[in-house]
Amino acid sequence: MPIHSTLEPTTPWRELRTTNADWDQADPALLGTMLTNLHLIRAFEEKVLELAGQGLVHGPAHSSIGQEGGAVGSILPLRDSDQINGSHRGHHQFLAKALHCALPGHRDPRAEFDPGLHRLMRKALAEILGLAEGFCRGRGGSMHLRRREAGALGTNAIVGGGVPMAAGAAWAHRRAGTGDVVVTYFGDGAVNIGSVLETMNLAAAWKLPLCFFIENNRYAVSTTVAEATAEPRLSARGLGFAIPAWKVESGALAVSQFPRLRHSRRSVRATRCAGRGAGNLRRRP
Amino acid sequence: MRVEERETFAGALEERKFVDVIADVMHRRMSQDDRIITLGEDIHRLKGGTNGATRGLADAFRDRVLGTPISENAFAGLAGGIAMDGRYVPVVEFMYADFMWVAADQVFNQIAKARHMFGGEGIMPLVLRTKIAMGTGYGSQHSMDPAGIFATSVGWRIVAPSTPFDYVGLMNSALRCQDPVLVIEHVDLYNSKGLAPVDDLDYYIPLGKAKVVRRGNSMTVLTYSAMVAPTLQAAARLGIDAEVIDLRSLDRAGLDWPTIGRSIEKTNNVLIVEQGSVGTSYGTLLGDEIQRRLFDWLDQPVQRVHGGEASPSVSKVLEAAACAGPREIEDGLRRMLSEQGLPLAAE
Repeated sequence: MPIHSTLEPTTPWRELRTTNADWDQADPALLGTMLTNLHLIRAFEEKVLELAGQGLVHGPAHSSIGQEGGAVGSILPLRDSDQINGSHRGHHQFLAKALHCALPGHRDPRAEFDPGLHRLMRKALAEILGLAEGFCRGRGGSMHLRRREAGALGTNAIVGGGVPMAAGAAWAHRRAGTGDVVVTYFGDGAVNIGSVLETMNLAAAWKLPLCFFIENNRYAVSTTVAEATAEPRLSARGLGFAIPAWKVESGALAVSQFPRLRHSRRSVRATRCAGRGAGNLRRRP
Repeated sequence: MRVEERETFAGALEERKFVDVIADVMHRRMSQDDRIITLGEDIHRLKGGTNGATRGLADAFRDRVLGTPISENAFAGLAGGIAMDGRYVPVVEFMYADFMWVAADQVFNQIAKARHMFGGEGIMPLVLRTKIAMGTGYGSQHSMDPAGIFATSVGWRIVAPSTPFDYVGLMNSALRCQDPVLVIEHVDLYNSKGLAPVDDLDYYIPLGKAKVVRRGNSMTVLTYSAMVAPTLQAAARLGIDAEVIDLRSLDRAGLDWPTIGRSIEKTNNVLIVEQGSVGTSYGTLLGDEIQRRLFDWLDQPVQRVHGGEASPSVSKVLEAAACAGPREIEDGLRRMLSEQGLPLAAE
């Protein structure tokens, strides 16, 4: 009789949930900042949809409404010199990083907005409208938002297409010894494409400071996760490449992942996280 | 920047194997500029990759010569990310040009378009080295000439050096370019010998400069890479008064129209010579551009020599039938004369 042994992945795979106690312990100023950023992004996205409805957005305007939480929470622990890139649905991550970088420190939701914030929002909106005033002079639009000064390397219209480039930036950080990290955001639709899976392998093999952030909103256009893969627990993708993985509700990511990500900045090599959309945040106490 | 051509080069020259000069100039640049890194499959092992083009680099620059997994799409894109970052200059090797299809998204959608798409302020100083392997029997999936496809991709610069001397100058220019540059090599050239500098590897040949390698009056022959030498030989064999231009830079922005135009205005006849199959051919683009720019100067349609409507296969005879070679070049040269109503060259 052959002998069967159970094999275990070499890296941890965990689900992370917050408790009411975590929320009670959270820094009120930090929560105020997060709330402000969430509302700013939501308001921005509602304006984009309004303008799109008026026919003023040439091309698509992929809205991130409902997904703000994962972006705001995961970007708060990043430094200005840390970098992100994203997918065609990336307004929220771009804004979260740009806000975090342009207006450092805590923001009181009750306070007046800084004029710099107005300028930033205006330039972002101009880019989405394809206007010369935008961050990429209107050449990029909604799907190619880049602001290098803020560490936003560029969103991408090819599903999974920005992920290898993020690995390149991470390689440069490691080579330069700056300790900077890169977070690459993509959706559930991108977890089955070669660019992502090849890069997971390469980033893990080369120990790059790169976080793969899968934003699972359950639909790739109209195709569901369950239709597209036999392993719909998308955080499992990391295990085949020895990448430690967390499955995270976005509310939890925003609170509990914050100290964890910061604490492990140098030790986390190729980490990946999974969030499920900011709608969950509102259901939290 | 010191620009040189072999004919006016003051330094010492010697006969060198082409592939050794590739490794030498890479070694020189990497020793002078520690921003330069190189990556690709097996380039850190064997005797400098599968052809020896990276010989000695891994020993000299261990942490800057990165052997990659077989993931062209990921490591090409990773190199794009490094280039865009700006602190390092990546030199990527694709073991065979055909692998560009495997990496097509990163090569054509990402690397090529990034500068323009993101507003024009970023840079993409990436060099991609690859080889044409027609004639080696590696078959349908390892035998393409990538020039025609890359030339359709706005953003890429393309150079195809035909001599070791030109390789040095063009690689030095490629490494200073802020656009991505494809450097096309050829297995026929690797083991060929040519005049190369003995110790001066620091000169430049600017992108966008073609070279008249044979003066003549009866026709202009435009060619590149490993087809330059057999074209010169065929013209000499047939005793045809052909002017032969080694294009060297092949991208639309890099075509040397002053040199090409001067020649065509003199000869009024043009033949484009390339080795690869007609489907992915480079001459399609070039022929179209010539008739748009120089139609009034032409005494006959733009003529072309190219491979068949086929992929080369491992069968030696079928491979020879799929690629253009000396016989097709001779046929092309004769056709140029007969279409002018001139007698065929003496044989």
